[in-house]
Amino acid sequence: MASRDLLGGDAPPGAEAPDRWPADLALYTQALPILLLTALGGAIAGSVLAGMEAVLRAIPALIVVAPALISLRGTINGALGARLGSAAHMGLLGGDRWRDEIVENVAAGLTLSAAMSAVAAGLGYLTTFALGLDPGDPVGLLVVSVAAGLTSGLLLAGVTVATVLVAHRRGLDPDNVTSPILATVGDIVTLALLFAFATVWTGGTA
Amino acid sequence: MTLYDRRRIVRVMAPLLVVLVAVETVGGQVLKASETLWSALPYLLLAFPAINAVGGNIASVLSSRITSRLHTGQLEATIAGGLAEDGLAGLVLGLVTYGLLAFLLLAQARWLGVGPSNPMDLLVVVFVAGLSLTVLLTVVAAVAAVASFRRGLDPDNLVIPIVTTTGDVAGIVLLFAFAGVLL
Repeated sequence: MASRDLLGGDAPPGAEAPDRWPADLALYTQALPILLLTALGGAIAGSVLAGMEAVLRAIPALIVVAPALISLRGTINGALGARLGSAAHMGLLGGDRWRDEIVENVAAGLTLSAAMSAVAAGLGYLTTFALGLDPGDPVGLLVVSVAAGLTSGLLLAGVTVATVLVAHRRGLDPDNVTSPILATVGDIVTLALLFAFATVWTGGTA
Repeated sequence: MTLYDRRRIVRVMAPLLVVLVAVETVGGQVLKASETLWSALPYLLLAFPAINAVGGNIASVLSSRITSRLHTGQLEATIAGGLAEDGLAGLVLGLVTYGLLAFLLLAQARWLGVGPSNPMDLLVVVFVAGLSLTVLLTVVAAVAAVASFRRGLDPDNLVIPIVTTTGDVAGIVLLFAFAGVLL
C-alpha cells in the first residue's frame, strides 16, 4: 500500500479516500463556506491596504514587505494552531503543565514573528536599494515592520490559544476550527496594525 | 519539563521562514514595480490580498485531497491522475468563489469611492486573474504532491507551504499582468 514508504506502515484496511468529483458533495458543503469566509476576510484586509496609499508613499519599501508580513503571520500562527491541536490530541491540555506547554508554544511563535519581521524589513530594504529605487527611511521600515509583526503575532496567538481551548473544552476537534478562523482574521489584523504603526511613525502627516 | 521546547520550534521553523520571506519579497517587488497601475487604479490594491488568500486556500484543499488519495492508494502516483481526480473540483471552487469575490470587491470599491467607471474592468480582472491562479496552483499542487510522494517524502509536510508561497507571488504577477494588458 501507498503509505508504507512514507510513514513506515500500511494504512489500515477500510481507509477511505475522498469521494470522486462530482459526486463528492462534501467538497461544496464543507469547503465552500470556509472559502467564502476567507474571501470576505481578504476583501476587508484589502480595504485597509487601499486606505494606506499615503503612508506607502512616506515609507516606499513598506509595500515590498507587506506580502511577507501577511504570509509570515499565516504560517507562524497556522503552525502554532497545528501544534496546540496536536497537544490537545496528546492529552497535554488536560495535564497539570498545560499552561507551560502553551507558554512554550506561544513564546516560540512570538520569537519567530519578531525575528522574521526584521528579516523581511532588511530584505525589503536591500532589494529595493539594489534595484536603484528609493526605499525611504530604514529605521521607520524596521520599527514599523517589527512592531506590526510582534503585535499582530501576539493578538493572533491569543485568538489561536482561545480557539483551541474553547474547542477542546466543548469536545470539538481544534484541528478543524483553528485554521479557518486564522485564515479569516489573520490578514485583517496584520494589515490594520501595519497601517496603525506606519501612521503613528510618520506622525500622521502622510 | 514541558514536551514542547521553544528553542527547538524556533530552530526547525526559522530556515523555512527565511526562504518564505525571500520568495514573498519577490512578490513585494512586483507589487512595488506595479505602483503606477495601483496608484491610478487603487481597487487593484484592494483586490490582491483576497485573490491570494482564496487561491492559497483552494490549493490547500486540493493538496490535502490529492495526498489523501495517494495515502489510501486510490491514486496512482502520476501527475495526470492527480489532475484528473481533483482538477475539476478546483475549477468549480474557483469559478464560484472568484465569481462571488469579484462582485464583493466591486461593492467594496464603490463604497470606498475607488470603484472603476466601468464595473466590468474590476469584475473581469479579478475573475480572470483568480481563475488562472486556481488553474496554475492546481497543476503545482499535483506536481509537488506526486514528486514528493515518488521520492518517499510525505507530501502532507511539503505541498501546502509550496502552493501557498507560489500562489502569493503568482497571484500578484497575474493580477497586475492582466490589469496591465486589459486596462
